[in-house]
Amino acid sequence: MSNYLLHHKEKKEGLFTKAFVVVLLVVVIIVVIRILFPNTFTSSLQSVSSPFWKAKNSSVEGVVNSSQLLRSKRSLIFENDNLKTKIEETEFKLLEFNFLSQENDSLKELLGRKTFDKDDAVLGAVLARPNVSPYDTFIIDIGKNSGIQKGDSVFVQGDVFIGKISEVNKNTSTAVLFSSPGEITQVSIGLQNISANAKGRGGGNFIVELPRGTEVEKGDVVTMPGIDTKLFAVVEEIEANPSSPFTTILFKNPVNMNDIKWVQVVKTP
Amino acid sequence: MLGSILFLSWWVTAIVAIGFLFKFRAYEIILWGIFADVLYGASVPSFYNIEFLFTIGAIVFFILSYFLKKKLMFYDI
Repeated sequence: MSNYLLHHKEKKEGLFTKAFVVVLLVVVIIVVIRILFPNTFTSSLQSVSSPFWKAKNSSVEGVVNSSQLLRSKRSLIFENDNLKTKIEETEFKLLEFNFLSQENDSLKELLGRKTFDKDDAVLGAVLARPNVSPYDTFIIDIGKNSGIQKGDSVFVQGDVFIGKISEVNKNTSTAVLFSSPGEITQVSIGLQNISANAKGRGGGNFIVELPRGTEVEKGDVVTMPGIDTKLFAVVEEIEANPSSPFTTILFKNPVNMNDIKWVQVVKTP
Repeated sequence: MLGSILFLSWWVTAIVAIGFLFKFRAYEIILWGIFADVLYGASVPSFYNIEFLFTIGAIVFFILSYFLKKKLMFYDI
């Protein structure tokens, strides 16, 4: 036993071994190249990783779809009835919404203000979602080949503004979300359009501090200021501490960032 | 590690990396760190716009594990 231990005793090595120095040198070279030419490695690495992400996304979808087959008939009938009722209610609301939206657009055009044109949007499939990195970024499958540029706006479900393109490669792009930790975005809260600076907290969550007594309620809609009313988030929680002169308002994007499959990229005018 | 970086949450990758560091003298952790940063890196205000969080984290953990292993009886056979 003692011979075994003596035989297998690890050689005491210092921290700066040859291997460690070589690794550090490689890292320094890559960091310098990335700072000087930001897209050099990212473009090729994202191209190589794309097939893996696509395969993972389609296999996850397959598993989720097949798990639906195992549900009982009764629960499916119950859910079907509920959904039918909801569809009828939503269709009615949608008619009114479409009418008001068209009226809004035509009034803006009449006054010479061009509104956000959804026909300019380019559809992109999400390859990697925010939870894989602490940077809160999306990687999408469209890049320079689709005319995407740095700073273009990223939407989901047509009207929800979630972020901006931060890096464009040949076939892929990286989008940074407004909810990235520490990112400050100017927003309007509720029907009274209370102006505030929303601070990102990651994963589609935001925080705002307003003076105590400001009229904000749970469920209030948060929008981006401007001529086009772009849906930004919905107020989820209001925290008021009697000893503090401020009220903390927590809100989040109305869509789950980890479920997004497609995004629309709108070119910046 | 590659699968973890590509498909799993970043904190799972961090746990796997720390596990590797305590089992082996895993220099490659630092290379995986730079791989993740090149793939996902973006300038984020809360991180002082540093785009190399995984790399810095990997180097720090590598050095910490070196000194911690010296103190632990488990590695001093």
